[in-house]
Amino acid sequence: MRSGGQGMTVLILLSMVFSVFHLPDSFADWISYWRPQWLLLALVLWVQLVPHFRGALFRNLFAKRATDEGTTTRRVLFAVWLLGFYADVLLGDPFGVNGAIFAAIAFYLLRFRDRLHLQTLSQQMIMVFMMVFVSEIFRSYVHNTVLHQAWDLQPLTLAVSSTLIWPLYHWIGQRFRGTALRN
Amino acid sequence: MISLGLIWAGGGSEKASQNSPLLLPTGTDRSVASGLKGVRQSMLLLTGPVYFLAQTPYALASSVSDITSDRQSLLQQRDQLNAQLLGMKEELLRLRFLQAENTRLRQLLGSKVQLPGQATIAEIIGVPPDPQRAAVILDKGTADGIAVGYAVVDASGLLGQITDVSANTSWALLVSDRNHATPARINRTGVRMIVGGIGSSDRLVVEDLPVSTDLRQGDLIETSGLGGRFPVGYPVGLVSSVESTESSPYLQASIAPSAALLKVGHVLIISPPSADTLAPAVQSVDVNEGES
Repeated sequence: MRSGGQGMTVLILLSMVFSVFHLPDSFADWISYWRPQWLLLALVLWVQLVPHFRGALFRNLFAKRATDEGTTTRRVLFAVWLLGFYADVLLGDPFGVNGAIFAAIAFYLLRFRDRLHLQTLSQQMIMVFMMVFVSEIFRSYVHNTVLHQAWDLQPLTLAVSSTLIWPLYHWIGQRFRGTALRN
Repeated sequence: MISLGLIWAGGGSEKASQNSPLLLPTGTDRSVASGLKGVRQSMLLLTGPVYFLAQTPYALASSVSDITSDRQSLLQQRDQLNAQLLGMKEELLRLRFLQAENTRLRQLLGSKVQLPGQATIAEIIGVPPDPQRAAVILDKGTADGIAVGYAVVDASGLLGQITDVSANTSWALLVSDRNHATPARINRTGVRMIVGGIGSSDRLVVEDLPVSTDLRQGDLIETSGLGGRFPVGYPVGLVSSVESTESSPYLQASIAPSAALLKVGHVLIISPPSADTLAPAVQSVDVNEGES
């Protein structure tokens, strides 16, 4: 259980590093239009696996004196909202964009947790595509209004690349779940 | 949540006491913004390690190439640098003479002498992942005396300006960003203009310059120093094309930026120029006296 939690922390940190990693300047410009949303995928995995991480850290942070599932859900939402502010500063986005995206996605995942639990990998990939696509449209809208950036195909390309990377995260998630259930 | 609320409330009351009661709503808004700016600045400090980690492969690769480079190529590089240094020294001698002459002429005209700002060497440690954002992250911050608004240049021209700063890192917006505008002038004629970014790394545009302006392909565009943010005389770019259409009263001109906007390496951060006032006796000299 504990090893799963530590692995999750490492995965989130690695996802942050990957999301700011830049390619050598000899690389073609168009590749950066196909970067997967590493941090968002790690977050989706974490929220999906939250019930399995009932270790010391989880108990103290999210389940201490929690009388019902709702309290834990609110705490998880608050945590991902705060993580969103950090992501804003990390990626140079206007303050609050990532918080809104993360909290909305976490709410969806927690609200329909039981139903999503039965999904196959291909169904999960469709779900990831929709989540990244909608969130990137929202991000593009904010960038367009606040930073005067032009609309482009990024919502689509980022959603496709994130969908293609999801099986890797799914596999890591299964490893974590296996660890969590064995303990 | 509570701490955020406290920052907002505290900042609000402080602003309210400074402003007149009529301006209270605006003052409160501003203090919310400045409170959030503080939060953002302290969070920026926490993002430094992530950027350093993401930079590690490049740092490792460069140290590996340092270790494995052979003696012959190092000697060759040294000779090349020595030759370059000699050329620079010769240029510097001429520059010193020109600077002294410029100061004398400025004193004759009674105009202010502009002192160059302090320069700090910084390294680019990151690039935001969004290709539409033209910005870089530098490894120097308030601890090194960097502040928001300082100009950033590389070896060949103006790169951008500092927009966000934490204790040991800072964000610089590049001249090619859509939100960036540079007060500039044509080196040949001295006509002033605004050069704007359009989000492309190899093209800047001239904004609102009348068709009658003498602007030719190949003209050097340099910073004008107006606005006090950028020091005067740094190259911005070369005019790559000039077009005038009958339907528009303005020139359609594009500029190829001088600075290497896509390269990663070392840059210089320059503090804004400080103006030095002259002694009153020199200011009263009339330059037209000799002509009459």
